[in-house]
Amino acid sequence: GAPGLPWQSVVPADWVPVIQRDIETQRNLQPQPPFSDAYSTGIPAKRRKTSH
Amino acid sequence: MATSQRKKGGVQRVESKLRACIERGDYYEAHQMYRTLYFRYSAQKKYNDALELTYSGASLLLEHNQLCSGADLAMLWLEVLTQASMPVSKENIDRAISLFKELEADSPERISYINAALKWTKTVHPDETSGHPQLHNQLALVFWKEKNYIQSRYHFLHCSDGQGCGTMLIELSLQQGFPSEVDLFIAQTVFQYLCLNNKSAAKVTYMTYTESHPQIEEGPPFQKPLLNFVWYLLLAVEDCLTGGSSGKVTVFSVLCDIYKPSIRRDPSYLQYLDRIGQLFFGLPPPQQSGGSGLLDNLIQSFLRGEEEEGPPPAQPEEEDLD
Repeated sequence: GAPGLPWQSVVPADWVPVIQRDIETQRNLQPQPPFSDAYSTGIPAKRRKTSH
Repeated sequence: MATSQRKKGGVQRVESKLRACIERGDYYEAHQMYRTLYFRYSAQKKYNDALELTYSGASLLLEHNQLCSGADLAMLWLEVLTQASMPVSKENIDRAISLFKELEADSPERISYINAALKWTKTVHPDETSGHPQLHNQLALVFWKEKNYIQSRYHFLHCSDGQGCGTMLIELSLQQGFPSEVDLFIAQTVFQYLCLNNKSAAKVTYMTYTESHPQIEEGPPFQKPLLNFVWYLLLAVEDCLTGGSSGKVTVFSVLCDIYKPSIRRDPSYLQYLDRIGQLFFGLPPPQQSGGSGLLDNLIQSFLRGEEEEGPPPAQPEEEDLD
C-alpha cells in the first residue's frame, strides 16, 4: 500500500464509504467453492493443461 | 474488355460443368477437377479466377455434405487469399464465415481452417499479431450461437465487441456457471482484456454485464466487493483520477491491498494484476524467481493469440527440462 498514508486520503472521497463497507463484507468472505467448468476454461494455463 | 468477358465466360462455363458434375453425385471427379483448375489459375497468377472457383466449389461440396473435399477447397480458397494478399474486406470475411459455418463443429478441418484464416488476416495486417479483430468478432458470434462458449469467449477477447462479449458472458454465467461465480466471470474477462491492452472493450463488457445480469443489482456501487474493485480499477486505468501518474499508482496499490481477500478467490487474478500494473501504472515486473513460469504461461498464451485447439507448443514445458 502507500507507506504512511491512510487509504482514505489516497482514493477519491466518494469511494470511501463503499470501500469501508467492502472491507467489512470481506471479513465474512466464505471460501471460494470449486470453479465450474464454464468458469475454469477461461483460465488459459488451466485450459492448456486439461485440453490434451 | 472483350478478352476479359471471354475469360469470365470461360470460368463460368467450367463452373457450370462442375456444378452439373456435383448435382450428378460425381463428387470425387468434381473435387479433382476443381483442384486441377485451382493449380492452373494459381500458377498463372489468375487469383480472382482461382478465388471464385475454390469458393464456389467449397460452398457447393459442403452444401452436399462432402465435408472433406469441401474443407480441402476451403483451405485452397484461404491459400489464394493469403498468396494474393487479398484485403480483409467485409465480403471476404462474410465468405470466410459462411464456409466456416458449414464445417463440422470440433472437427480437425475446422481447426486448420480457423488457423489458416487468421494467418491470412495476419499476412495482410502484420500489426494484428493475433489475427484481425473483425474475423475474431464473427467467429465469436458463430461460436456463441453454437453455444461453444469456450471458443466464443476466446475470440471475443481478441476483438472489441464488448457488448456482444458482456451479453454472451451473462448467458454463460446463467446457463453453466455457479451462483458463486456471477462476479468472477466479469472480473476474469475485464482483467484479460486489460492484459491485452484493450481498456475500452473491458469497460463496455463490464457495463453490459453488470447492467443486464439478472443476479446483479443496480450499481455501481454493488453489494459484491469484487465488482466494486473492478469498477475502481477501470476508473484508475481510464485516467479520470486526479493526482497524476504517481497518484494513480498509489490508488492502484491501495485497491489491490484492500481487495486482496476478493482477489484471492481466483489465484490467477494476482498475475493479471501484476501485468495490469506494468501496462497501465508503470510498475516494474515482479522479481523473477522460480515461480514466474505460471505468469508467463498465463499471459503469453493471450499475447501469442494461442488457442486451445492450436498446435502443441514446439518447446517442451520448462519443468520437463529440469
